[in-house]
Amino acid sequence: MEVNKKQVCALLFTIIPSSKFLVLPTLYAAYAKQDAWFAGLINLIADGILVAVIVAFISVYEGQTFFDVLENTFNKKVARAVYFVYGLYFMFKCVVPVFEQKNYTEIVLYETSPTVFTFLPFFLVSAYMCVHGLRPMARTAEIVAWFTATGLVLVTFLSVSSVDFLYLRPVLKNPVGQTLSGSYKAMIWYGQPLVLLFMAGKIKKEKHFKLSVGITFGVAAAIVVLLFAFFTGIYGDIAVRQLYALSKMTKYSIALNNVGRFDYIATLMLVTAGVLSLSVPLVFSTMCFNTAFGKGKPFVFAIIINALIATVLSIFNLYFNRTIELFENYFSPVMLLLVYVFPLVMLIIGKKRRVEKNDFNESKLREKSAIMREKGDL
Amino acid sequence: MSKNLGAIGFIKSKLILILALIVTVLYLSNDFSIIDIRQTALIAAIGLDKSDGMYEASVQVAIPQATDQTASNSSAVLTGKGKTVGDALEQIGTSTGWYIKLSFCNLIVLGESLFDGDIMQPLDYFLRTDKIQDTARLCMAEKSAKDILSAKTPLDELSAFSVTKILEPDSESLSSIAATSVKEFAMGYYSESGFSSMPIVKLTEAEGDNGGGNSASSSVDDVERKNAEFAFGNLRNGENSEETTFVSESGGGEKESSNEKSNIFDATSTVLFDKGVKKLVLEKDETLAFNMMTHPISEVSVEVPNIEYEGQNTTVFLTVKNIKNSIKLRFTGANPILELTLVTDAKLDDADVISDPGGLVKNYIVPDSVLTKLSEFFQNKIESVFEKARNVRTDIFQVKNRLYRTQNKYYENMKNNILKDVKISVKVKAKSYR
Amino acid sequence: MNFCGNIQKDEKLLRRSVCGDDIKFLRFEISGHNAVAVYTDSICDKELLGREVVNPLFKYKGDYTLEKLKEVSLIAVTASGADVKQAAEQLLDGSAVILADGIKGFFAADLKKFEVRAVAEPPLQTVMRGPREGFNECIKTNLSLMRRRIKSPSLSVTTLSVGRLSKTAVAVLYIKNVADKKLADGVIEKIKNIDIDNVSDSSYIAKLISTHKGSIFKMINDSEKPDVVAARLAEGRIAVIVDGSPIVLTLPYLLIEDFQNPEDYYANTIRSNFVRWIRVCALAFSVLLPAFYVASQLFHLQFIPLNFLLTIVNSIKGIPMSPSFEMFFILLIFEILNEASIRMPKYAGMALSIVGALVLGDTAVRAGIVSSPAILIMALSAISLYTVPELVETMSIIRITLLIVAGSVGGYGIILGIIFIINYLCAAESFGTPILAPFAPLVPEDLKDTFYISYLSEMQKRPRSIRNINPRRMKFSVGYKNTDKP
Repeated sequence: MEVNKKQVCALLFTIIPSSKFLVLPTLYAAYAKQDAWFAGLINLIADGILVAVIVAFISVYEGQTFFDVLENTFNKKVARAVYFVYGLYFMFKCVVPVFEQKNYTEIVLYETSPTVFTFLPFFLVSAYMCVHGLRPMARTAEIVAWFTATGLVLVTFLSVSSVDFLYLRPVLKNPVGQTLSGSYKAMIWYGQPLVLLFMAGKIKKEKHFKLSVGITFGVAAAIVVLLFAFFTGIYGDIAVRQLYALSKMTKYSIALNNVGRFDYIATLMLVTAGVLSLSVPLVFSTMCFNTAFGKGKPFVFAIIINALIATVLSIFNLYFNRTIELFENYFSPVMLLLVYVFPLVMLIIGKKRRVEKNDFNESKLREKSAIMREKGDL
Repeated sequence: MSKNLGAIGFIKSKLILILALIVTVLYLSNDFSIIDIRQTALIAAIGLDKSDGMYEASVQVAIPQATDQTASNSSAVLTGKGKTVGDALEQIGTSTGWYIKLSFCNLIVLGESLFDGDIMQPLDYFLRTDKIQDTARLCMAEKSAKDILSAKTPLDELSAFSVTKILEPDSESLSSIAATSVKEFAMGYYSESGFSSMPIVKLTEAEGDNGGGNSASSSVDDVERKNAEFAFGNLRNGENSEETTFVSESGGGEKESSNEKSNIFDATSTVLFDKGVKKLVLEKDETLAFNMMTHPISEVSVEVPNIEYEGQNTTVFLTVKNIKNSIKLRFTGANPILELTLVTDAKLDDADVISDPGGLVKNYIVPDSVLTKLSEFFQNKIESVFEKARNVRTDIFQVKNRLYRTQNKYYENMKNNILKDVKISVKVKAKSYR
Repeated sequence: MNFCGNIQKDEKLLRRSVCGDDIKFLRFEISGHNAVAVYTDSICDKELLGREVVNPLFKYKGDYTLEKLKEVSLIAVTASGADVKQAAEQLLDGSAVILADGIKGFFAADLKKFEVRAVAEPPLQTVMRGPREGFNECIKTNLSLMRRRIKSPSLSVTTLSVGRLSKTAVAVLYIKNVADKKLADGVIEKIKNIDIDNVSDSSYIAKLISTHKGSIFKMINDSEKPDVVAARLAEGRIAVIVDGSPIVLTLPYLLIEDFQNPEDYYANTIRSNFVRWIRVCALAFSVLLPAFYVASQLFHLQFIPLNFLLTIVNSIKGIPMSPSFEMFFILLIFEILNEASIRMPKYAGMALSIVGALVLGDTAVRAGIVSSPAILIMALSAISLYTVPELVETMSIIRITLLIVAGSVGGYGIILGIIFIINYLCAAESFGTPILAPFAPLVPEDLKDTFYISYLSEMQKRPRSIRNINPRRMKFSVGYKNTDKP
């Protein structure tokens, strides 16, 4: 098994909050005003349901990968086709966050930076992670989760003193249609738990898996909602004009007047988490293409995918808002289908592996390969 | 296939080496238009004025001095003109060749000439740009903003530092100065009430000052001026004189001190705005009353006149602590009432009488008569401030905002008349500090 | 080829097999028969040969057979037989070969005598408190030091010979009922498969059996201290002692080991916790500080408080180099000084210190070539790195790499670098053990001896991060009260 329960939880804890404090709070403020936190909650509930579906999938199809289930339900060709589609999905999924993070680093961290050039090395690191695959990424998440937690705690503590809860009122008085529309537009920033589906069959069987994943998601979601509420409370009516909330929310702390901008520590920690969570879809995209083409050469796919996104970023560098608009309009429906509907459908109609004999052979084979790996190690 | 794999293998093995080479070459050449520390002018404050329909931006640039010399940092004031604020600031950069680094700018002074229209118009630049922090302190200059930035101060090297200090949002300053930042001002402006405020900074000559508080810096005065002139060299030779002017000042110098008086700053008056338009000026006591209700103040000293104490009519000096304020809008039937509550502890610091040394406790405990007078003092001030503001349609305690936020069901019906219709109920409870 | 029993012919055979003027032949008689003791002059104890081997044989009057003669010798026999090649090998290993007329064979007496360095305090791992003895270059001494510390029959010692020319003795040690035998067997197998002419040092073995050959991080740890090796063996690790090297290899390796100074376990626990944190922070400081300093000057001025920034601006006035090149230059100078100070003869040390510290440091600042904050940053970084001496080589490379990245792409580059290093380490395994364990994969039980050191009485189990077959290292009898707890 490639990953364990703790690694799954760490990954989930890192990828859920880290991409949500750049453009997203502003978008919510535009649509849902003082109910921004509620719009966020709607998206997180949808993601929570997704987590529940995938966890159920993992437990129903124990020991089987999503590919196995697709293959058993349909056939190998369909399974490969589906993986190809998801490969494309993961690739496109990272476009908006990449643009977002690039703009964020350029504007907030690099006031005097020259070009997109400063961000491009990200793709080298990402390609490296794509080549290494799931296990090192999950282990990296275990380390980075500490950065995420520290960053979030610091952001929470530094911003809480500047929050005026009056600005969260009147509660739930914003027109429901607008709030929902905010949630729909924000969908492209969600759906990260889908990666768990592609980890099915690769997770070590451990006690309380469902509970741990549930609690992790709950805690991460609660922090996200809390910080959305803080953002509204800090900016009130001008929230809609504040991009890159992450580095802004913390700077009003009185403590900063005396010792300088130590809130940058929190920012840098969450940027570190952001690097990992940006790479995650690219790693899974590589995995999906690799499985779809059955080549066993992740290096090639990793290079192609990262080079492609880097090219897109370089060309459309100045069209950030247009890109977001494009994705909000055209990517959201696709996302709805691939992230929220298809896994549920597969949970319901999927078939388990039928022939026990194969099971036996496979487990024998796995055992053998494990021994060989071990020997190779030595 | 095997050939391909061989190629991939080759790329894989040499990739890191190739990348390392590229990065090292880039690094050592350091030639990708980075604007580094050497090309950057660190701006400590911005002043804005308006003349002939053009914005005049003055920036105070911090010029460091050698740390191993007994010298203080000095500053230079540069000015640029433009049709917009951004343009005026840009002008300074293009005419000096220095990159104007605004992220250290913690003070924006608005000249009096800007206050004839919606003040948010020039301020919008600061809200929009990411180059400057929206925590920058905001104030109005009694006359020209440039005067404030060019002023000499006895205690700080830069006038910006001095002004920023009195406008810091700490509890001490908040007692007498209604400090605000770009963000707070904008939040008020865009709120339902449209109310915002900022302190007025006045220049006052420092009494008994010989012009140079920092005598150690006097000997390097000429050097500083030369440095500043060198740094912004082409400013004086006339090429850009139409757009940019240059003033250099030092942290204090004997030569100049004989001619120039140094100044201190007063910011106890507050100007109130309704939708960005200047409406009213609050004086010191009124500012205090306004601050007591709207800011978290930990301690304040109050002078209350005409008090019966120790059998004499006198003036007492009290320290007011543990200030708890609350503003609530409630409805009795359809009638809105704004409840302003202030609970404080008071400690007698001084009185203009010789009191009987009857023991420590007696001297500490504030008599009820004084407490009542203190309560009345605050109550009257708060009521008067509110009424004064209401008379010029300025929603000083954000009644409309409270209506929208806390009594939303009445909002649609009352949003246009709430300020006119609301009744005010001020409750002040002063206790003796024990 | 075998010995024939004719002493003159056998002597010639042996002379032909082993060349060298230091091969000596001591002729004597046994019960009236001619005999010869052949030995290598430089590595054999002649005094012992005469007293304990030749003298008893000379006086012997009993049965004249090889077996009887072996019994007469008062020194342990390391080999016997008729093979000339084997006799030659024994000869070169320091044993004395005894040949007698009429006997078709030889026996070798163990009379090795090398000049060995005394057991002394190791120069790289000095401690204020705790054992001061260190390994030396003699495998026998080193084994004896280990045996003295682990007097258990479970201590398995497998001796191998590596190197076609050097025939270096290599001993693999592990504790049978603790360590994973499969792992130990694997290591032995790997060492056996090494085909090399000469093994000069244990690092040869480390490089040849390591799984990640191009790794910047080591995959096998080492130590010069028997107490450290014994502790590692007790945790389930495997030790490899190589003759001729005072450095003993231990594996599998965890990165956290380098932060675990032996003194941490001998000193007060609270103090140990404090110094371990100092070490961790110092290392982070050392690696990141130059990079952050350069990145801040080039890209992120807002990271530096204004007053400090004014000081920097002042000090870099007139410096001809860019901030990035300036730091690179100072770092390079430091590395040159460091390398020179290790290599140069001791008598030149003082002169170089003066040149390094005064001429290059102070004068460079005065001459306006480099700025004083840059020198300060570099000095702080250089000193901090030596709080974890085991990682100096690796971290100095990372430091310069991060500096180059930071100077090229700024703070975001540093973050990318950190993520890259984390991912790199997460993918690295030392003999099946992830080197970032117990952090990734997280093993909560093992965190007791990482950035936080628990009380000794609480470390009752062996680290799970290292494969072992016996997790319990401490047993408390019923009724034991943990009085160590505060």
